Amino acid sequence: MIELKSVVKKYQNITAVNNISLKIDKGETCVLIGPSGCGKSTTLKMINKMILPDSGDILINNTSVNDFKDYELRRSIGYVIQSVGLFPHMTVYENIKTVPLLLKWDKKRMEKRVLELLELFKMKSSEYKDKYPFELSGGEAQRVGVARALAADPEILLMDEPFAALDPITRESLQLELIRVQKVLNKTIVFVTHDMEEAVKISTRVAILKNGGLVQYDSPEKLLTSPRDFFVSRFIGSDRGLMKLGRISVGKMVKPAQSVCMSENMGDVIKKYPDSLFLWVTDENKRFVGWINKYNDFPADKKVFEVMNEAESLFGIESECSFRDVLEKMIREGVELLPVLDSEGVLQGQVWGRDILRMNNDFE
Amino acid sequence: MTLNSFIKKYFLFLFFAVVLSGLTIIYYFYNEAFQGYLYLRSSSFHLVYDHVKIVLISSLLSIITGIGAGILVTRKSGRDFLPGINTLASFGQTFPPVAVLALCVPFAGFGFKPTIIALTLYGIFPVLRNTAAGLESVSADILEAAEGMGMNRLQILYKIEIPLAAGIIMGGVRISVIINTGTAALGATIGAGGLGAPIVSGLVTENFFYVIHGGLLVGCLAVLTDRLIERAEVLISRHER
Repeated sequence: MIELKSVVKKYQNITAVNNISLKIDKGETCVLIGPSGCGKSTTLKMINKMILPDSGDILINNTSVNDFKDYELRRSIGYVIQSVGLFPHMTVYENIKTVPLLLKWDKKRMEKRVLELLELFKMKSSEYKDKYPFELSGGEAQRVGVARALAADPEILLMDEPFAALDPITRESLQLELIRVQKVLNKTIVFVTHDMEEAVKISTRVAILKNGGLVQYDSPEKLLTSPRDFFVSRFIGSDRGLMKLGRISVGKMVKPAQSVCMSENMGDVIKKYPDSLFLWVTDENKRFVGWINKYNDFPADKKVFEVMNEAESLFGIESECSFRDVLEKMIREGVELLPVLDSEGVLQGQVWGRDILRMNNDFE
Repeated sequence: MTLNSFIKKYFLFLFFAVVLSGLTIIYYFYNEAFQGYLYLRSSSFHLVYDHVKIVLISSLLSIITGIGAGILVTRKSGRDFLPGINTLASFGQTFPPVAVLALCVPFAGFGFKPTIIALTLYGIFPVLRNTAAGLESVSADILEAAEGMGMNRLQILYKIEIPLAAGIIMGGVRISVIINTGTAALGATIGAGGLGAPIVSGLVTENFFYVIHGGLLVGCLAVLTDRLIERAEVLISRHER
C-alpha cells in the first residue's frame, strides 16, 4: 500500500530522515514513534508531499507520489494534525465537507456523507452540525478533525500526533474511538506519536525511529517481548510487561462461575454447595449484586441477601477489558478474583489474577 | 419592532436625515431669511452628495489598492517587501493630510481630481497595513491543514486566509474611510466642493455659523459611516468568540 524506499531528507547539515525504507500494508495501523527530532513527522509529511525528500522514493499502490499532482494526492489522503486545524470561520458541517467540496461532489452526497461521519463518531448532527469550532471542546474538535480527514473516504489516513494536546481522559476515549472506527473502515493509517502506551494500544505495526534512522519495525507484541537494542528497550520503558497485558483482552481467561440467587435460603445454599468457600450472588435476572464467602456457619433460616456482601456493578469487568485493566482493578480492590459481566450486568463468569500472571509467562 | 426601539436603533440616521432635509428645505424655500446664519450658496443635500462621492471613489480606490498590495506582500514572492511597506505605512500616517493635498496640486491641478488622488494615497496605508497584519495572523496550523487537505494556493487565499483576515481588514477599511470622510473636507481648499466648502468659506469670512453648519454635517456623516462599517465587521467575524 505505502512503501518508502531509502528516503533521505536533509536540512542544511542536519539529516532529518536518513535512508528509511518501510512497507505498510493495507489495513495496517502503523505508528511512527521516537524521541523528538527523530524525523517521524518529517517522514509522515513526505507521504502526502507536504515535504519533499532529497532522495529515495515513496510509492502508494506501487505508483510514485511524484506521479501525482500535489493537490490531487492530498485530496486522496486524509490528514489530521495535532492542533486540529479546524477552519474557525466554518461550521462543523462546512469543515467536514472541505475535501468533498474540492472534489466537486454534488450537494446531496456531501450532506449525506457529513451526517454519516458525525454518526460514526457518535455526535448528534442536529446538535453539532452548525456549531463553530470555538464552541467545541478539545475532544469534540479532534473528532471533527478526524471526520474531516475521512470525508472523501480516502484509503490512507495520516495522523500527526493527533491526540497529544488532549487531556488523558479525552485522549483515551479518542484512542478507543479510533480503534473502533478503524475496525469498521479498515483504512491504512500512519500515526505519529511519542507516547509508547498510545502506540501499543492502537497499532498493528510500530516503527521506532532514532536520529532519522529506523531502529526497529515490528508488531507491538514482538517489540515488547524482544526489543532489538538498549535504545528500544529503554524507549519502551520499564513497564513493557504491563503494556503487553494492555493488548490482550480477558475473554479467553474467563472461567465459569458458581452463583446463587439472592432470594434463596441459606440452608438450601449450604446444601447445594457444601464444599465451596465462595459464591457470587445475583438477582432474579442473573444480574450481579454481590458475593458470600465462608458461608457454611451462616444461619440457615436467613435469606442470601441478608448475609451477602453487596457490591456495585462497577466492581465487575467486561470480557473486552484488557488484562492490564483487570490487574489494575484487582490491585485497587485488593482482590484476586473478579466477576465478568456483560453490558447489562449479567454474570458471565470470573477471572483469577493468578491465571493472568501465568498466561503472561506463556506469551514470553 | 416597536417605534420606540426603532428610533433608538436608528437615532443617528434619523437625526441626520431630519437635519439634512431641513437644511435643504431652507435652501429652496427660506433662502433669504437665513442668509448669514447658514451656508446657502448651494443646497446641503448637494454638498453631502459631493462629499460622499469624493469619499466613495477615493475609498474604493484605496481599498482595492490596499488589499491587493497587502495580499502581494504576504505571498512568498513578495515577502521581501513587507518590512519596507510597514515603514512606508508608518511614514505615510505621520504625514499631515493637508500636505498630501498640497503636494498633489502641482501635477494634478485644482478641483476634484487632485483631491481624489490625495485621499486615495492617504487611505491606502491603513487598509494595506491591516490586510498584511490580518493575513499574517492566520495561524500556521490552519494553513497546514488547508494545504494538507489539498487546497491550492488560490483556494487557500480565498477560502481560508481572506475570510479569516476579513475582520482585521475591515478594521483597516473603517479607519481609512473615516479618515477620508474627515479629510475630504480639506478638498474644499483646492476647490473640490463637498462639506468642506461651508467650513472653508466660514473660516475665510470669519462666519462661525458656516463652520458649524459644515462641521456638524461632516461629523454626523463620519459617525454614521463608522457605525455602518462596524456592523459589517461584526457580521463577518461572527465565528469568533
